[in-house]
Amino acid sequence: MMLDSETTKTYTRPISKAWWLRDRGHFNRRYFMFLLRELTSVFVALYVVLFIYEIFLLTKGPDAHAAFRESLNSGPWIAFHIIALLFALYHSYTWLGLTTKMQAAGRGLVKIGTKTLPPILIALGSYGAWIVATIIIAYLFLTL
Amino acid sequence: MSDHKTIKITVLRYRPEEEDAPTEQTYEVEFRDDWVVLDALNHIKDHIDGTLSFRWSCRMGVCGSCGMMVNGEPKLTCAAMLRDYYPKEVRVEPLVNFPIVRDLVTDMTDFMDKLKAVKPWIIREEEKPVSEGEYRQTPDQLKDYKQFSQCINCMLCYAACPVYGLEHDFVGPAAIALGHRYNLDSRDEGIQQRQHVIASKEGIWECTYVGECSVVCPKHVDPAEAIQQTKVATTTNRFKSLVMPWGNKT
Repeated sequence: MMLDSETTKTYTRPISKAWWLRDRGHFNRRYFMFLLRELTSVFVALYVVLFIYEIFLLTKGPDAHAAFRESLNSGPWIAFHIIALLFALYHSYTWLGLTTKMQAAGRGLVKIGTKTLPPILIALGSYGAWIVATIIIAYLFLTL
Repeated sequence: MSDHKTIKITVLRYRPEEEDAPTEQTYEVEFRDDWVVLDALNHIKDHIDGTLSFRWSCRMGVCGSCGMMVNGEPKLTCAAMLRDYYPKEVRVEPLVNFPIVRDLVTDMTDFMDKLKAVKPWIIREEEKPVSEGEYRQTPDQLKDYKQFSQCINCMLCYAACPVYGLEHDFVGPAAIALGHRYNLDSRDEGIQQRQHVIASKEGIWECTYVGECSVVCPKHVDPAEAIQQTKVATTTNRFKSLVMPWGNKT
C-alpha cells in the first residue's frame, strides 16, 4: 500500500538501545552473538596497540623491553590476554565461517568448470589454512 | 473437533483517529489443532471484532502479504501453526522496523521504493526483435540465480534486520537479493545500472552480517548469502580494475 504521508498518521515504534539483549520481551541469541562478534574488534584493536607499543620499546633498548615484558606477568594483564585471545578466536572462527556463504550448493563463486566447489571444502580449506598459519607463527615465535 | 479448548491472542492495535500510540487487545478464541495464526485473526474479524485490520491474501505462503511478528518473531501468519504456541498466549504485532498504518498493517512504501531502485527486471543493452526468438538459458545458468528468485517480498527479512531498523537508508536484504538475482541472470546486461545502489555504502557495505534475514526467510532465499557474494564479487572486480585498468569492467 502506498501512502500519502501528508494525510496518514502512521506510528513508528522506537528501538530499544538494548535490542540485542531483549527485543520486545524476547531474547534473541543470534542478536547477542552478533554484538559479541562486533565487540571482538575492540579487543583485537587493544591487543594490536599493546603489540605495537612492545615493538616500539625494542627501539629503547633490551632493558626497557624486558621490564615491560616483566610487567605483563601480572594477573590483570594475563586476564586481558586470555580474554583477547578468546575474542580473537571467536572473531576468526566467525569470519572464516562466512566463506561458506559465497559458496552455497549450485551457485557459488568458486567453480571448477561448471561445477561449484562444495561449501564444506571452502570451510575446511579456510580453517585448515588458519590452523597451519597459527602453527607456523607459533613455531617461529617459540623457537627463534 | 470442538472440545472447547481456547487460546488467548493478544494483538497490537493502533487506530490513528482515536489514539496517538498503539495499545494491546486480547481476544480469547477457540483453539483448533489445524488452525494457523491467520485463521485465528480471521475468526476474530468475522465473529468477535470486525474493526481489526490486517493484510492477507493467498493463505499458502505465496503472496507474502500476511507477515507479522508472532511472539516477537517475524512470521508468515498463514504458516505459523497455533498448536506450536498452545497453550501459551500468542502475541501478534505488525512487522517491526516499518511505520504502522493501522493495527497490524504497516506502511511498505520505503521497501517498494528500494525494490524499484535495484531494477529487479531483465535489462538488455539492446533488445533483439521477437522474430529472433527467446533468450535461451542452460539449466546450469538457471541454477546460478534460481534460489534468489524465490523471494515473495514479504519483508520478514527487513523486520529481522537490526541494521535496517537503526539505519533506514540501508537498501536491505530482499532488495539486494533480488538485484543480485538479476545480476546473476545470463540474459541480463544491467549490472552497471544496479551497482550504484547495490555496491554502495547504503547497499551491501551497510550490512554487518547479523544473518537473521536468512533465518526468518520463509522461502529460503538466503539474502545474507546474496550480500556476501556481492561483497566478494565487488571487491574482486575493484582489485581487477586497479591491477588491470584496461580490462573488461563488470
